[in-house]
Amino acid sequence: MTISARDLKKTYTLGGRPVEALRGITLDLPDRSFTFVVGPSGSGKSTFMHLAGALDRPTSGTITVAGRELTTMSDNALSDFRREKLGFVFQAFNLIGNLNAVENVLVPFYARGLAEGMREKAKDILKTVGLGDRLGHKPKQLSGGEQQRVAVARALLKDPVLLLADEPTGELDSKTGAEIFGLLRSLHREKGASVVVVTHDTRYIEPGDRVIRIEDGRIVEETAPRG
Amino acid sequence: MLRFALLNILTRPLRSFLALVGVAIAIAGVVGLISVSSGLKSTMTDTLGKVHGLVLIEQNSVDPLFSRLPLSYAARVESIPGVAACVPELWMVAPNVEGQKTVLGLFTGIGILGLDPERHTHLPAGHVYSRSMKRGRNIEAGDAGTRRAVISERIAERYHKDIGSTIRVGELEFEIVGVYSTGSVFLDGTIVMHLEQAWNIAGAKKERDMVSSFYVEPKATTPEELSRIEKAIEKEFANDSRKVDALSTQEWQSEFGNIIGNLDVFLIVVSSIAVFVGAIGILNTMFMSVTERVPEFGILKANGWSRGDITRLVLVESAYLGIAGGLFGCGVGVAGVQIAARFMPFHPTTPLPLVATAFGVGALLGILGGVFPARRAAGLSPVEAIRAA
Repeated sequence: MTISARDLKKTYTLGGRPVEALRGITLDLPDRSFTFVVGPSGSGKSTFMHLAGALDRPTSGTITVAGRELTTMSDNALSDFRREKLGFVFQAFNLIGNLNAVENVLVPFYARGLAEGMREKAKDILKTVGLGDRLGHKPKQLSGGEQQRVAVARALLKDPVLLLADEPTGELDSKTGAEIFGLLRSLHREKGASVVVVTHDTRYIEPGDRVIRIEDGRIVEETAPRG
Repeated sequence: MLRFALLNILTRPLRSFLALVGVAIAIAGVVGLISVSSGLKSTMTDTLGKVHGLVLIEQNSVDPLFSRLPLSYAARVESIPGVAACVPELWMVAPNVEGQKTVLGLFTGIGILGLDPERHTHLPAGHVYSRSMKRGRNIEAGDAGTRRAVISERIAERYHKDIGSTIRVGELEFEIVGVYSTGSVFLDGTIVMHLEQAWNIAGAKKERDMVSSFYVEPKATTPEELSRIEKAIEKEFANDSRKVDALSTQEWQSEFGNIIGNLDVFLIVVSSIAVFVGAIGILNTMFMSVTERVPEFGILKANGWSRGDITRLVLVESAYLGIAGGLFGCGVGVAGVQIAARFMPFHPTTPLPLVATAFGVGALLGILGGVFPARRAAGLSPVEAIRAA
């Protein structure tokens, strides 16, 4: 299983009052699966993504990703895990303004030094996502769709086991959104990575996808792939 | 990471430059002030090295200019066993030279030394001015009753004078009979003349049986003998109304060292304040930078940067500011000292260890200024940081 969660709960304190974002999520997402986590705003779907992405810790319950029990890992081990195994694509593109496209793709590895050939690999991936003529451009010089492609390329460079996308088309028009989904699906198909897309936009769901609906911090519906 | 950190600094050029200037001013100040102090010290040491005997001044006077002793003391000093010669000296500030008061129009910055040439000839090592004659001769016994003077090369150059020409000191004209150069800024600002003539310039201000000080040379110049004579002289005048302090070169050096030591403490305090302000500048710059870049740290954390990695990034950025400020400050400080040296009567010295230390302080300042912002950046929750985008 890529993700295995058991009675996962997360409670925040907001204005001095506890808010239960997740009220006991139990699920298994198999390897190489393409999953949509859908639900209304505030349902807890982004919280689930943050826990699966080792960006946050649950209040209780366990979550195992790619065979690693995240709740028992140290902060440094979680950082290493995110760098080596996980890819992220966020709604707000999340690029670093003073770095160009190639540098934004490479930035996860700047802290520990770039391995030989990594810069060339980054350029190749950017060419693959259609940004061959935008390698030296900074985020301000790129359109929203191009910026999101850079974010996808950054995730691809790691050859991730799991790619987590939080509303990846939220700020894009339909045509560009479809292109981004095309890229995510090719990553899934060609690299064999599991993909979890958190969204309230169900237009991009295909018959082979797993769909999990979360409401009020609980799974209210889980649809296995058809066909 | 080093290139990434540099890029982050260069992205905000004006703010980075202002923080850098804050550090640079502090470092330049440290280099400049300590160079002046160090130059003053070495000039004084060099000057005192030219004086071999003892200087007798009125007890508790800080300088011969403020000391008054009876001329009759000379004979009593010479009667002390082991004393070769005792030369009475009258020191004063020239009221004006060639009708000019050159320092802010208030005073000349030139001293007058009136001495007794007769006793002068008995000095075994010779008087410092006698030993430093470049042209002509020093004042002699035969000059009594004549208006003759010896000037330094510096004074000769300043007033375009030489042997044979005359120089007006106060209301009196003097024929120049010799030109000396000791190489010391403290000694080379003096017009030397017969004691009688110095009294004449002083007019009613100085009694004719009083001098400022006595210069004493012993027959043997071992430290033990010097110390013995020093004690004997002080004992000789212990019961007089005007008591005497006999000071050797070492004691002058030690007195001056104390004054310079106090000056150094003052300079260190002033420099520390400047350095503290510089550190606050870096802290402020880095804190603002970290606050503005919260989403960026979220992205980095999501992509595998650990707390330690983020801490290092911010510290490297602030260290860059400190290093650049240190380099810039050292450059400005050294250049400033070189320029100032042209207008100063002595040469400030900038030893290499001072520059190295100042540069190190700049770098350390940068790192310290970045500690608090780095901790804040490293402690950000990745989820909260990303949401701030």
